[in-house]
Amino acid sequence: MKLYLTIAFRNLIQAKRRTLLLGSAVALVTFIHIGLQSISNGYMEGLVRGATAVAAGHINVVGLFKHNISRMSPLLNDSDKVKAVIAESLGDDLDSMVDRNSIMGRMIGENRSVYLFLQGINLNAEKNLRGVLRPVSITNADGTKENLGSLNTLDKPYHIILFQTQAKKLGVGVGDVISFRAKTAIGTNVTSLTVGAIVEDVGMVSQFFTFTSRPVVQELMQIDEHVGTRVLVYLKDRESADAKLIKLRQALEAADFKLTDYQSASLFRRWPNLERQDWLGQRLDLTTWQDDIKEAEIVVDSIRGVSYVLLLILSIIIIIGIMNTVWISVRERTNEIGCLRAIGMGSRGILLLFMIEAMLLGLVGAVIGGLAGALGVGLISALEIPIHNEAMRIILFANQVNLKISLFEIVRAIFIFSTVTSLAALLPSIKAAHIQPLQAINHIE
Amino acid sequence: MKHLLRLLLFPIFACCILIYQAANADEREDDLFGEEDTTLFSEQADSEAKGENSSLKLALKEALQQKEKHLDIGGRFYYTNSLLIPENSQLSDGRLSTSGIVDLYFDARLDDDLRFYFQQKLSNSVASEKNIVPLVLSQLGEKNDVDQLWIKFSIDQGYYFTLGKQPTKLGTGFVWQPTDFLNVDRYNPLDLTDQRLGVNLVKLQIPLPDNNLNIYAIAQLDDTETLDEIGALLRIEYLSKSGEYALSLKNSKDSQLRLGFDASVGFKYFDWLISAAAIHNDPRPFVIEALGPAQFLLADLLDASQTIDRSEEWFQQTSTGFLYTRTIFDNKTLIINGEYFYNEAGYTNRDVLPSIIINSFIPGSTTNFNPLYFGKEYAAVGLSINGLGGDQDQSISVIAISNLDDQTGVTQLVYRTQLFRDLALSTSMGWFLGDEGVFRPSLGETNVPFAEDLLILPPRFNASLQLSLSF
Amino acid sequence: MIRQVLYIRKHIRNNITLARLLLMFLLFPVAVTANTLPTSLNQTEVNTLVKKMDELSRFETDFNAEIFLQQKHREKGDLLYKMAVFRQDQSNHLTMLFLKPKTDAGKGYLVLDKNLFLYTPNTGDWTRVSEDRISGTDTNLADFDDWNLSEEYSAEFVALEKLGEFPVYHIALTARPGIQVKAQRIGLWIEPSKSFALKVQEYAQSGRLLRTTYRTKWRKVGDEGETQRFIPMETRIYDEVEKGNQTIMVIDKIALRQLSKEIFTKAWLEAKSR
Repeated sequence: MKLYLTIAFRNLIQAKRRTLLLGSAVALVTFIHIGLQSISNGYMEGLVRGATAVAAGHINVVGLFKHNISRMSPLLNDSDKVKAVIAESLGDDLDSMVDRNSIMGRMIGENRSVYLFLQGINLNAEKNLRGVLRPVSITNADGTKENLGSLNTLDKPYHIILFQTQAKKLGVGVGDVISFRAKTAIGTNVTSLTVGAIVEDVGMVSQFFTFTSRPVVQELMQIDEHVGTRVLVYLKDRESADAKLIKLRQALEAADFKLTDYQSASLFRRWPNLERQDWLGQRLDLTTWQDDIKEAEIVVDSIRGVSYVLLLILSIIIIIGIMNTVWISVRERTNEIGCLRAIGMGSRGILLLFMIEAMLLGLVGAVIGGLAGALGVGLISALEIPIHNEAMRIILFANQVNLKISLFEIVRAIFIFSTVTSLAALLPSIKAAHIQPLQAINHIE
Repeated sequence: MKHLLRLLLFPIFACCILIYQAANADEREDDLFGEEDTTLFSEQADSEAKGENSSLKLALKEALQQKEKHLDIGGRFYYTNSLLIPENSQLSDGRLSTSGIVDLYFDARLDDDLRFYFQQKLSNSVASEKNIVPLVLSQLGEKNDVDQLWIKFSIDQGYYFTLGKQPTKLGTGFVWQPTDFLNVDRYNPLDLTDQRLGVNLVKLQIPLPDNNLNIYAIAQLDDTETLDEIGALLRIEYLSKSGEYALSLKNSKDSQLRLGFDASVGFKYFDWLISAAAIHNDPRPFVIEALGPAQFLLADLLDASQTIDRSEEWFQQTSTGFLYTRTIFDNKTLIINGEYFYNEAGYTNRDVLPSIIINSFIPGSTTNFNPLYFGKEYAAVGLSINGLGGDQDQSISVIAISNLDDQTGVTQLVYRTQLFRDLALSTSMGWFLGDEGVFRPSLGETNVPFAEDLLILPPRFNASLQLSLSF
Repeated sequence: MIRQVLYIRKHIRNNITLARLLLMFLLFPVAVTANTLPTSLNQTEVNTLVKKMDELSRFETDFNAEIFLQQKHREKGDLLYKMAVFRQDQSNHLTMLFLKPKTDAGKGYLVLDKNLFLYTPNTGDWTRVSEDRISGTDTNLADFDDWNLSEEYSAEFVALEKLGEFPVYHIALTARPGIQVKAQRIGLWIEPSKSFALKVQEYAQSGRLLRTTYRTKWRKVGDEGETQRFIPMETRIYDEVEKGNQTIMVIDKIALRQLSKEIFTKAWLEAKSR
């Protein structure tokens, strides 16, 4: 075996130019694959982190209340009882639960206004959110750094935390007063809010969500302090949300709560449909985090789609390249094959010889590409390159280039590409193996 | 010191803001209620108050008018390739024709009551030399016609005038429109797009909504040299809850008189349609026997002994049919229609067909061959489904038309789709059925001096492809 | 703060001279001088006044009008429509049909069973829409409807004030508990001789002023006799939260006459927009 390896290695060395060209092609393809994979991973990661902390929990339980046939408000009357049922049903799988009061409305600044989801929260209970919200840090003229407000601002009444994009759109800074106007169950209401902190964007959700303390929203909606809007349930394992949702639905139904029909789509999209249904009173609506970010997943799918198409094209190029190279190599070395056969090497030996050569080439190329890819991803992540283009921020769900790749994915890429290379060499190798020794020896180039 | 000054200035300016804001609100009120002689309540009453033309109202009116006033420049381009395969021919013998047509338009809406429209039609058609008579003889070569050139305005919003060359459509039928007294060329339902030119008219429309009436008075100016050659048409339309009814009367040069009645009545998913016309003083000669080669050249066939003059008689043309429309699968429309046409003045003798076809080639000839109006009795059925495909921009339709006298017919399948937002593709395939007749005219080598190479073979199959682009 | 100062300076220069400002400041305390009108109303008189206003807003006869509707929006620019409004108070029917501009012509609103439906002629679709905004303007359905203030609110006399040159009664309304209304508090400035509100201010639950409405150019409409009544030909609505947004409603033509029931059906609107 060692002999085969030696021969293959020497052959590769001998055809230096060709080896280098093909090897780097394999390396490049592996590199590109890893790069694209890391972009879609990073995007997904940012999306999920942002969405599950800012916009939704792993499972969301929203109370919907219909006063009359045409008007529905987000109101959760017995949130304590709901929470008790959730806690009992999920047991150890439950990580934490938070109450939020949310309402859609128009945030009105001096000259501009934006449509937003105002979320009344108890920030001390929101450990996931605390991990995501970071006040924007600016450098003063004298070189000192200063944060734009602090998260604790919500302890003060009528204060609000805005994301950077929102503050920029509204043209406001910390300390400015803005108005929020919303349609509530009792009519239109307006409240004045002081900007307490401006935090860094966390992707697309930063466009639509903003935070204040719960009493502000409760007062705006004119509801009692025990009335909520929704309960965000955080699980120890977020991937189990689907199964847990079914479990929760059963538990809540058993506890005499009325539920809406489950549909895998965000509540925002289903709202018009639900408002049209002809029930009255309160119903609970349950969704998982996957349901809530369904719309945004399109981007992941399209990045993956593009990378697969690219991968396919590149693979075809490699396959053709390898086939051709091995074929030329077979032709060039037909005499040599004849000699080897003459001194007793079987046709399988010849096959193995060429296969090993291709495999060696593929493996080295893929390993180099894989390592370079991993290195590149690591380097870019470490640099924390900010994204300045707002549209890109929204699309990529992050405000800095966020790449992520796992060891498994690197090994998988190396395996795939070295296998592809070897398979490409199979056909010409078989042909080489089938050349008759006599004919081979007499072969004149 | 500076800070102190700022500190001092702040309350002063804060006061200013308050006063300014109060003043602002007051200013609004001063504008509206400030003048002592402002009339709050105008006692003058009438049943239909038109409100005085306040400056605000005039400003809004003007703003709205400015918004509406604009000039649209655009056009449509049609590129058509057709293949016609005659009887007993190979596919390779098929006659290919290609045409490119551009419609360019200027559409100026100067205000609600005034509009100017101009459309020029440029076309270039190329076809193989030898003719097989298709349904309508298309002219070859380069052409440049004014398609539409009209101005539309209203007087008192009660009298609507449209003057100039304009498209027009009268009648209810989808294949036969006997009451369409205005268009020179007849509508051809087998064409992928209607490329007929506009007609030169002076049109006055008087809607009387309180009586559910619509009155048209139209003067037709095409091919007129003197005043007494002007054609005049009067049409009264009555709209009721269940349908529309119309009476028309037309008098044109040579005192040809035409009377028409149209009705379309809706009943559940069905619409029943009828168009009936009575014609008097039709100047066209009636050919009773096949003409000899020498007579083909006569511009006026009445000079030939094989023809008779029937201008003293009254003829009727009636088309009646139904339209069934339903929505299927939520968003697709199914349309089924059927139509029967009786043409009293038509021919049943197919021997005269070649004579008339050839004669219609002669410049100045009064005959013109149109297979849809040549025979006496016709029937048509059609089915179409619209809104197919994911974007609901595809449609399929099938139509079959037959002359019941000679049992020839044509059936056509059309598929349309929107390739891009502004680019549409239409394809059609047609089969000509039956032996020899109106839809499958045949004429061997003729001895006609001017048309020696005019060979008319009965058509068997045709296919067209049309790309249309709007810009 | 500097920015604020500059802002004010600019506006003062543009709008009011300092002298005028001073004058206003000086004149303010003596501005209110009433004539022979009683300077206050007792509770019964107030209730009667509000009831009368409700009655005046209600029409025994149907009416149809052509109105201009303009929305000035500080960010999005202006919207302007001409529309026909058909109202039948006995049956609570309302139909609105867009006449101009061409791009919106044929669109229509229809109130059916307390729901507002929008008809889009291009697609032929009927969609239920929120009654809070009519075609992107700050007007809501209530602006086209009659009043029911005496049942929905409790009234309180505030003062006899002056609106420009005209003396008016200022009355404050507070929503009665348990009743769904658009605004929790309403301020009315009522012309005493005819009992019409010339100015209306609506407040949110939080106490913030939402919008101010001025109704001017009142005109007598209808044939001689019972059905004759005054109607404000011009209405201006100022958004007090999003300052700079303003809605203007001007009646072009109005007639009080019996309307056919057909007008208040989907079929009629569909037929109209063809």
